[in-house]
Amino acid sequence: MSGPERTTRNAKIRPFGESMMSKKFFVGVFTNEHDVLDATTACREAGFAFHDVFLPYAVHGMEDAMGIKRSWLTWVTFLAGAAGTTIALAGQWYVSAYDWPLNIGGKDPFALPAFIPIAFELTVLIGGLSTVAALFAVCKLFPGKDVKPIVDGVTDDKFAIVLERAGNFDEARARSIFQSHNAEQVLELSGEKA
Amino acid sequence: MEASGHSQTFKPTSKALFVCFVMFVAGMVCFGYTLSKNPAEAWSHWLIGAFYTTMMALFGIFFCAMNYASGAGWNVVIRRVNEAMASNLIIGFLAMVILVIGLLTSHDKGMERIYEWLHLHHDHGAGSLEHAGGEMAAAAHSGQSALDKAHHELLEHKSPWLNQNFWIIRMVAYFAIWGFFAWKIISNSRKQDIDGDVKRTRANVRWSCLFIVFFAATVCLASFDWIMSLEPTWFSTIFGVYHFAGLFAGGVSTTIVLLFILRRMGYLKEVNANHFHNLGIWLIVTTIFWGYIWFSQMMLIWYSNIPEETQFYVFRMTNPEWDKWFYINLGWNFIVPFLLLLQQPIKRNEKALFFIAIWVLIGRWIDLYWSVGPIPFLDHATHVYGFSKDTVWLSVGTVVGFAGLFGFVFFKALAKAPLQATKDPYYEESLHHHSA
Repeated sequence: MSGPERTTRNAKIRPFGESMMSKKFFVGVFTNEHDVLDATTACREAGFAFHDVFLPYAVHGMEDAMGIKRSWLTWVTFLAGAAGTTIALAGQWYVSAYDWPLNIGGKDPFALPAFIPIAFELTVLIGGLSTVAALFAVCKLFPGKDVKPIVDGVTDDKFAIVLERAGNFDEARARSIFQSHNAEQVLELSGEKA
Repeated sequence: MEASGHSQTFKPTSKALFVCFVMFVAGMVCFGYTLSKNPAEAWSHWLIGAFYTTMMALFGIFFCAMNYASGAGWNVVIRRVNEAMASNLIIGFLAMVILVIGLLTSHDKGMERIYEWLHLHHDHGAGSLEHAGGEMAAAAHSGQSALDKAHHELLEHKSPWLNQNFWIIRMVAYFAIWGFFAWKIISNSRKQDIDGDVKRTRANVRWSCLFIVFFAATVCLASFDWIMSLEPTWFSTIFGVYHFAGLFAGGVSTTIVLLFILRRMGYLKEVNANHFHNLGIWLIVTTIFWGYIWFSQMMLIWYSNIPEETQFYVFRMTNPEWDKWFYINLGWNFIVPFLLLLQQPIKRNEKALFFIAIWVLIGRWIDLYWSVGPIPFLDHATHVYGFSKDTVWLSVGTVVGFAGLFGFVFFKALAKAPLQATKDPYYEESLHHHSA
């Protein structure tokens, strides 16, 4: 399968982000998700350090294959959501019951059931927006950022494993893992100043 | 017992059947004891058991249908469990028939409080009506006569829908509809075990879509007919959705509990953390849904504060022994499972999920008892009296009896077909399901 036809379409190589300026990378490009999953598992077991694995869509099991631990982003959602509830209830208490007690339909000024819909909305709003903001901050993303894919096609139909070349990197071993999993291309990259 | 194998068939152990039988007998003892003390209370407990059983059986076929209709594949390894749950529709039907017989043959005064409209008689000429018991006739001459008159006029007004014959016809119709679709969908699934024909799945998708339409209407109407009409002058348009939410949360819990038991017996090794994760997700989603509907019903009624709507809550929140249960119901059924199930490791942990499922199933009883339990102690002049927590355990006992019967029928039904629908086109997908 990995005949010469497959390598005719050479990927155009591009620098991919400031964080990679002074680093060197070893990249395997694959054409299907089973190969990339198995190759990733093999790389992890061989002890290679991943820069990342680039996929055109979410591949189930990739977190396990890469050995990625659970994200702490859910805690941001939870705490921001709890903050949203608190802000909503405190705000409504302040304006309706404390600062200027309001009598609406004979209800108690602190009419908790009536405050719940707003508390719910602010929980969802602040929880959701904070999660997106935290995700953007962690990934150094922002609207309009010009992100160049490392290999043409990782946003289309190609899968790329990017290993960090640091310390005593066993290039022969990495190359053999990639090739034994039908890698379409094996590339060496160094991050340049864009 | 062998742990794997494609044509593995479930054989209920005599121990499991014995445990179910003991639960059933204990439940019937509780029911019999209550019946000898206060028939109205006994039949209210029976109604809780019958409704609970029916809803759990209905969930079995609804969950199959929902997954067929949405093209889900992950549930194929657990589908036989849901199919076997649906067999309990027959128990739900028998229990409702026995309830009707009990209601129509009892001469106890207190029984008039259960489906009050069932005891209206039109035997004094058109327009005039009299309550079956002497109690109401006597009250009509006292200071309450204006309230009684208004109350009776309202019951009379509703009688084209709420009358004995039509009520029984509707009940039979609901079970006929549910039973028909359950039979269609399950028999297609069983036929596929033999020929492996994809057209069975396609047919089931069509039957499932149709069933869901009927299901939505019949579940609403059944909860109106069997629970809401216990207080015939009260209404809540969201009531059917409320009980659908309860059906869903309770049904997912029942599925988790049964899976846990079956796996402890050495079956269903194909089911793994990913399938439990999906069930855990369904459980938290339906818990949130229940809480949302609970709140929607309560908040809108509380806010608009219209007498014919608030009576349901006023009855229950002014009784000194029961006012706390309003909060216990919300805390038990929403806040606790919600906070626990927020955590992914719990959703993927079979044992943790089992305990939460048991918790939710107890919560289903709390919710139903809070709705139905006060009825024998309620009169239409907005008074609750004698409603105490002393006899709660009798209702628990009766429901345990129904749970035993449910388990017995479930085990028997599960043994009738291979545990895995190995020729389902989604079977392979289900085996390799990944969820995280």
